[in-house]
Amino acid sequence: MISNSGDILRTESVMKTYMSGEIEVTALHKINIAIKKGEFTAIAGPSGSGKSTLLNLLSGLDRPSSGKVFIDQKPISDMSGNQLSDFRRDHIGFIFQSYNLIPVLTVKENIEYIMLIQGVPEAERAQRVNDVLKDVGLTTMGNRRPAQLSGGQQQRVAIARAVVSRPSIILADEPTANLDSVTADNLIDMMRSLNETKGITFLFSTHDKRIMDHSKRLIILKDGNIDSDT
Amino acid sequence: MWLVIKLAWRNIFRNKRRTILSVLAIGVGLAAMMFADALIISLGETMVRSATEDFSGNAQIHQSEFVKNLEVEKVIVNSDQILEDLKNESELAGFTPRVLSYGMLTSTSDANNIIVYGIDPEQEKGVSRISQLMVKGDYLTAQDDRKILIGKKLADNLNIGIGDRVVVTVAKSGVGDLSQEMFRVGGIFSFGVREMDENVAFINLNVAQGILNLGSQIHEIALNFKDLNIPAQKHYPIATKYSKDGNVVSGWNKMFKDLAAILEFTQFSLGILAVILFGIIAFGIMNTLFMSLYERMFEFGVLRAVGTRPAVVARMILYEAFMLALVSSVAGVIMGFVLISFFSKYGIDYRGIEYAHLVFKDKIYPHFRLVQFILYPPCLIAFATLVGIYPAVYAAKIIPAVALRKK
Repeated sequence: MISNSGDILRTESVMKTYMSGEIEVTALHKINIAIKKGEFTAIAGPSGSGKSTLLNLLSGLDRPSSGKVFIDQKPISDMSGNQLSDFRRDHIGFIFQSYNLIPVLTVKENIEYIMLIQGVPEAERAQRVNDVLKDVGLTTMGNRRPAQLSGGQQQRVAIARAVVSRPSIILADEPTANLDSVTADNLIDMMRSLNETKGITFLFSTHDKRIMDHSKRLIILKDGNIDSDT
Repeated sequence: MWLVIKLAWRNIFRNKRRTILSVLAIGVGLAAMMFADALIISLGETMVRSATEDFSGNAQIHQSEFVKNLEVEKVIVNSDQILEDLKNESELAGFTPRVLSYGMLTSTSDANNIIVYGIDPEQEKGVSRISQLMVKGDYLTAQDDRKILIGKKLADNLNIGIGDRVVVTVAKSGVGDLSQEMFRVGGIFSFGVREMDENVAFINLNVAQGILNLGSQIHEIALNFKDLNIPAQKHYPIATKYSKDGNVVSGWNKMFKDLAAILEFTQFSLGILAVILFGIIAFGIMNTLFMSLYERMFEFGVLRAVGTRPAVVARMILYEAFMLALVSSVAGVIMGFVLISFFSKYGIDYRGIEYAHLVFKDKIYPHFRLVQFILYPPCLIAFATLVGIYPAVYAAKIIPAVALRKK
């Protein structure tokens, strides 16, 4: 597990460039950022400001063009593909804008998936799935397929999936973008509650003012640079 | 492990229409392969039967030098003992002794070179179909010592018919003197093969032995086997046992080298067909997997993001390839079974058609072989799984961040 004293995630002069046709585009300019345990942090900014790119680099889903990303004080450039996979499996939970559940698996199976690849015993898996379904208010929906759920319900399942493996941090990329305001409010409350009661660290990329308002820390990105960090 | 298998199984039925079409396409390919095998094997057997069962037999025993130029003196060594021993051979369906010699058949108006065969009328029925191919007159009996059977074309050439007198001239064994004997045409046969209908005549074995001065000696023993494939083998018990003392046993593949070559080529063609069909199937499976993979790119991004190792993603694609091939094989085996069953009952009618100097006398009845069920489907499944390696490696190499942008 990641030590409680250190930063969970840290970047050192991280840069990301990519080619758009023949033109080199810089998505992030030498970003320095550190995320500590228990934070409820939002990264905001206009479209194209580099929010999702930063999230991808922090989670090890992508590698920086230069600079370093440290996960548990270790640079991810030193990690093999499998080590990165294992790290994400054990330490990072993901919530995506479009829910992104596996459509051929039931709600329970979707939630159980990460625990299965973690090797959690069957009885414990079942217990944790039932507990988390209760937490997100979907106790009766366990055997449904994602297509049989509303958008809000699917996002609750996504949160349950992210939470159930007991990660150190949950990275949420525009989690409320596709939801109506009531559902979005409920979800934000739920995530805030998980942060406060279970100490789960959340890092959001968002346009949603309600998330920004609930955040303990707000980082504004503009044109690939940190515009403010409050 | 089980979750990955479950995922793979459910994934292949995600786009039902596409999966059904793929299963049908692959299944039809497998069924075609099974049917081609059944047809080609049956075609080969029908050709061999057409070539051997009218007259020659599936195999023959001769003195090793005899077949080069049919020298009358080159008789089978220890033929009496061999004929006695052959009665105990369980692999045989029948055998018959013969003598044969070049000769001349003369009618009152003309003459024709022939090969005259001395045959045992009763034993011959167990090997050849001369008795069934008579178009005029009657087949020989053991008592017919002045009766000769000639081909239809020969009868036309010599302008003779049933009851007409002819003279057979042959060279006697040992001394080389000419021997002439008068016969009456007792029957006219038609094999439908020019060489037989124009140049062959049959008389009783003991009469032929007499005019050739052979005593009880013979030139040829024609053998029919219960299993046609035995005499085509390189080594088989009867050949080993009787190919000694200057005698040689020749299977149909040695007697009809052109036919053996054609059948070998047919087998080769079956191999080429298998490669083509398996190639089509392989690309079909690869196409299906890639289409499915591109559609689910974002999902692979999610799976990788939540910590699924690349090897597990690759394994999932391989399982999908395996399961698609498995379902397709089941469909193919059912289709193949129905197809072969239908034609094995009703046959394919090529009767009267000449192919490779042979006239098909029976319908071709494709038939089942174990290999169609225990070799082709597993080969297809193994091949398809192998083909799945490419999309599997491709999926394993997906960069999660790139895949997550694909939705």
